[in-house]
Amino acid sequence: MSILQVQNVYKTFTTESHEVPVLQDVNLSIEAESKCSILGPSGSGKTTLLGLCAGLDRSTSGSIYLNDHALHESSEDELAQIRNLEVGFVFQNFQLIPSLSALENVLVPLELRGESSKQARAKELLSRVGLGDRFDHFPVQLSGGEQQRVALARAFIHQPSILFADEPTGNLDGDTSGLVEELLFDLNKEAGTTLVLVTHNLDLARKTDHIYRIHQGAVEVLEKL
Amino acid sequence: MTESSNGPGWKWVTLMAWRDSRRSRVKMVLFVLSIVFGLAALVAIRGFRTNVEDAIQSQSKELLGADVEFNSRSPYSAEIESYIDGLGGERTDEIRLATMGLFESNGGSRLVSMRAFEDSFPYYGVPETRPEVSMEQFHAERYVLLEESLYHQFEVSVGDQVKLGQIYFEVLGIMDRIPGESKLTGWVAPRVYISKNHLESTGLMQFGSRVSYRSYLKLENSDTIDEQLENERRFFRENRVGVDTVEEEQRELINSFQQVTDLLNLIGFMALILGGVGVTSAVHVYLSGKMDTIAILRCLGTKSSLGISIFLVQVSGLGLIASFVGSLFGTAIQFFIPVFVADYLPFELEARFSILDFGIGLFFGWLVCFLFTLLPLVPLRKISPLRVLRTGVENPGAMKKDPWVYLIVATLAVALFGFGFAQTDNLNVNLGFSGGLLVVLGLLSLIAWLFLKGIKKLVPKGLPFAWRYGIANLYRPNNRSVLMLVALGLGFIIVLSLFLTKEAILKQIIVDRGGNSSNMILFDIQPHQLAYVEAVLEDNSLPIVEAAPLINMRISELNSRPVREFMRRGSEREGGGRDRDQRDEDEGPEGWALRREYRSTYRDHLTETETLIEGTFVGEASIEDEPIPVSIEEGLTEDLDVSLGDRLVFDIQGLALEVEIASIRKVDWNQVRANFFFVFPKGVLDDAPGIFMVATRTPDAETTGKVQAELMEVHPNVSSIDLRSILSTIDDILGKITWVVQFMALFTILAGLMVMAGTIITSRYQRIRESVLLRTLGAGSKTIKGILFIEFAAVGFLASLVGGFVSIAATWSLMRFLFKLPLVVAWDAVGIGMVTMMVLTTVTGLLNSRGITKQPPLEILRDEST
Ligand SMILES: Nc1ncnc2c1ncn2[C@@H]1O[C@H](COP(=O)(O)OP(=O)(O)OP(=O)(O)O)[C@@H](O)[C@H]1O
Ligand SMILES: [Mg+2]
Repeated sequence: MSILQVQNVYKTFTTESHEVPVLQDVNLSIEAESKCSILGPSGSGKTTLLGLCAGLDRSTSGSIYLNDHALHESSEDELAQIRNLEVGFVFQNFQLIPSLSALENVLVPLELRGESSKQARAKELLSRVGLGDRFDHFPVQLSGGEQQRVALARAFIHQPSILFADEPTGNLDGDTSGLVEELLFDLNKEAGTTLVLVTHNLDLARKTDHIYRIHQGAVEVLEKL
Repeated sequence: MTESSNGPGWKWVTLMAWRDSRRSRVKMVLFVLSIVFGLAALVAIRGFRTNVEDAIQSQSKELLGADVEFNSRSPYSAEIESYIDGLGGERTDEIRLATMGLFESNGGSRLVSMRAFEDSFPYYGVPETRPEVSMEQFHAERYVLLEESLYHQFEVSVGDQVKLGQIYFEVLGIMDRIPGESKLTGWVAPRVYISKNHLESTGLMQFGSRVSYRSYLKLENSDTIDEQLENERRFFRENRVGVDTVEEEQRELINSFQQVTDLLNLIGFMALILGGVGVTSAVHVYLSGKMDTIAILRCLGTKSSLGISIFLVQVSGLGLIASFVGSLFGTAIQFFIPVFVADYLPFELEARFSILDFGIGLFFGWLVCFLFTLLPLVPLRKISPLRVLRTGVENPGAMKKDPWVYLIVATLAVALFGFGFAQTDNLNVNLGFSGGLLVVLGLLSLIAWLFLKGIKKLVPKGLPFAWRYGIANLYRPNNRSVLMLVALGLGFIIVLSLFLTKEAILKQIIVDRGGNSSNMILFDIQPHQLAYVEAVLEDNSLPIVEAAPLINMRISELNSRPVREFMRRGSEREGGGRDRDQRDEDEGPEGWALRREYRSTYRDHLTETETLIEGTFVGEASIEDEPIPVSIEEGLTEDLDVSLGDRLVFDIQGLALEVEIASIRKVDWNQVRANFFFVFPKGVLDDAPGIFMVATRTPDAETTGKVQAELMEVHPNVSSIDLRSILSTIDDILGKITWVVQFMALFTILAGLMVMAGTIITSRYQRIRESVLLRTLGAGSKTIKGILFIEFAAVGFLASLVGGFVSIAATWSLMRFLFKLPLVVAWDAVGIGMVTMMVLTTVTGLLNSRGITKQPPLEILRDEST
């Protein structure tokens, strides 16, 4: 059963002077609980595709189904609801809320669902990523690797059905990257979440079940590297 | 997976708002503080007004001391006497006259306004004196009670002697307040009070004295008196009798207070709007730092409305704090106002706390603050969650195209207008004020913008690094330099232009031209006393600049139509008498110009202060040559609606004399000398009953005093005024009036400084980043402090430049259009004001930038991602 289905998707950015066609007739189907990675040179449209799949942006044409929700037919507020229920995120630049402590950052997705009594779970997750003693610290008081680990905890706290990660280790050095990657895969395995990973890192891509490449605006499957 | 349909509610939103504010609470409170001063001013004025109106309502009868009061410049006609008697009730009479008072305490003398009243006055209320004295004692002997200013001027103490007319009175104390008199009116001639029992023996009730007559009535039933008198208006007008009732007195007092408080309100509103714009700007910058947070929340599944709600809760909380502080502050000030103004009020003022007024202030302040913060918040609902993937993409900053923004601005306008209406109760005043306010703010912004642009072009290229960098900071995006200039400039302009106007008036209203021009006038000289007066001047080697005969006359006919006819028409037209503008447009002469008594002179030449502008000045004529060719003052031709060749009939103490306007003169009124509306040729009025005035020039105050004392000894009815004491009184009065307004303007200045502080604090992070960067690149902290100093000094310089420029322009237009005088700029005041402004601005700027150079650079650099 596929959890994400992308059909004939086009995405064109219109600027004042001209039009930039980024995605042209993208078709993609991702199985539930599978792991896949998306490769492609810089500027090829990886982030754009991820944004569309996660309901952060709208395609120019085509349809996208996420766990049977028709994203292309949903309103902004419906998309928000879908994200909260189904989707987890990890970003290259962490994107923690600067005014909230580590623990509070992790709790936000649950609180958005109206579940405010899950502190224990958040603490457990933070401990799991090695930050058991940093609950009350604010993002500026954490290193990049630590911030990304908080982001990981936040991504899994509400047990999403699919997790999007856009170059999660792009801003981190080698050792730290290794640790974060390991945590990402471990947590993903434990939760049985579908993982869509955008990366430049071939070694990382090899750890996933399927590898896709964006080439000239379309997605191709890479069987072997 | 738990499906929850309702999602997080307000509890979560509030919690998030609270959490999010944690790291910047102090800073956020500072943003909204700029609204506090305007609100405080408005709340204080509102409270003051309520208190005054309460006082006037509750002490209404004590204001007049009686139910009705009649007054006249001449003894009542038999008709009036019988009308007054017909009203019934009790009656008491008072005589007022201007005369010289000689103070034994230090030998000085001065023109005073003497009031002689009977022991039955007042019917309501009691005179307040210091020390407390019994009125029985006062009426029994030759005692006098003085206005406080005389106490200071002549170093008087209880028991001293004061000579009024031919006799001496013993000082019993100070008259602090007496029913029927406002405290502000005694400034030309300070007041002295005696018992009417001793009036006769002063010998002052003779021909030529400026006497006015007053009668107070206590009626058995005063309910219908206003209606009754209303029907007799023309009767009183024709008899030249003024009437005042409790109700009218009350209305007039309330009116004049409203005019004062309207002006103060306007200033309060300026401070409030200024603060509001400051809040909008600060919150805008604050929120643009929150865009990522909103995007992340949206990404995590928050509905856009919910994301905004968090900050909505925050800003409305802030608004509540600001309005609470403002209302509290305003209420506190309101309790201090009576201390400052008690001296000017004809009644007792008691400040009372009104929970309703406090509540109104609280609600209104919150609403305004909330709406102002809503402005930058509303566009944020459009923030795309995509921002988390690509920072900088899609800035929803475009407030301009958002219909919600217009809606909020409209609501804001309605709220401000509504509150203004509630404060002034007058639609037109309020409309005028609102319009004027917008024009002023708009114009000021434009001027500030032009200056900002202009200066940029003028900055030389070769300046040291810190200078160039500091000045360039004025032009960086988001720096809100125009706002800062307007905010700082506005209060400065109010204070400075008021001061400049006051100075300009003082310098010109009466000018000592030096040379041979006069600076002292002796008047009320009887014909037989003239020789003696001239002799006294000669003994003291003082020149007689001018000696002119004065003849009292009234106009009885204008171009063959009796004046009564005009006045009848006038009374139908005038209505309440307050719509002066409307009247001006109408054809025909002004009522006052027809009614007044003219003191005319005759001579065969024009004086230095007069210039012939039309016709020929006729120096001599004979009584047989009716109509007599006379000369009229330029301004009066408009008020009487006459021109060359028009004819008038004067009533000169019962004698009718026809005259024709043969010439029109321009008169320089701004000098101490006798100036006249009508000048007759010699040979016509020489035998008419008249009195004389003599103008002279004294070298110093001592000689002035000596001459006054000598004249006082022999002819106590001869009065005098001199330039020096007039100037000092006018200075005093203008000073007191402008002080009240300037006090209010202080709030505008404070609001301006708060706006600046808010602006600096919001850009603090940017400054820190820059300074860290500069330090990384090798700049010392000295350089960085230098840059900050230059930047704030430049803001101060520009603000004071804009302020100085606009103040001078404002003063010019006030002088030109309101006072009709040329502009004389007190440059020293402008200079001092500008320097003060610069210092204040620089200090405020530096205070709010403390610690910028001490930030550890590492933390800043790592924070790059947010
Ligand atoms: N709002 C926009 N307006 C115009 N062009 C855009 C916009 N957003 C993205 N693009 C363009 O779309 C193309 C794809 O961008 P995208 O960020 O998806 O690439 P990417 O594959 O994620 O690259 P990178 O590996 O550098 O992150 C780029 O050429 C970019 O310039
Ligand atoms: Mg990308």
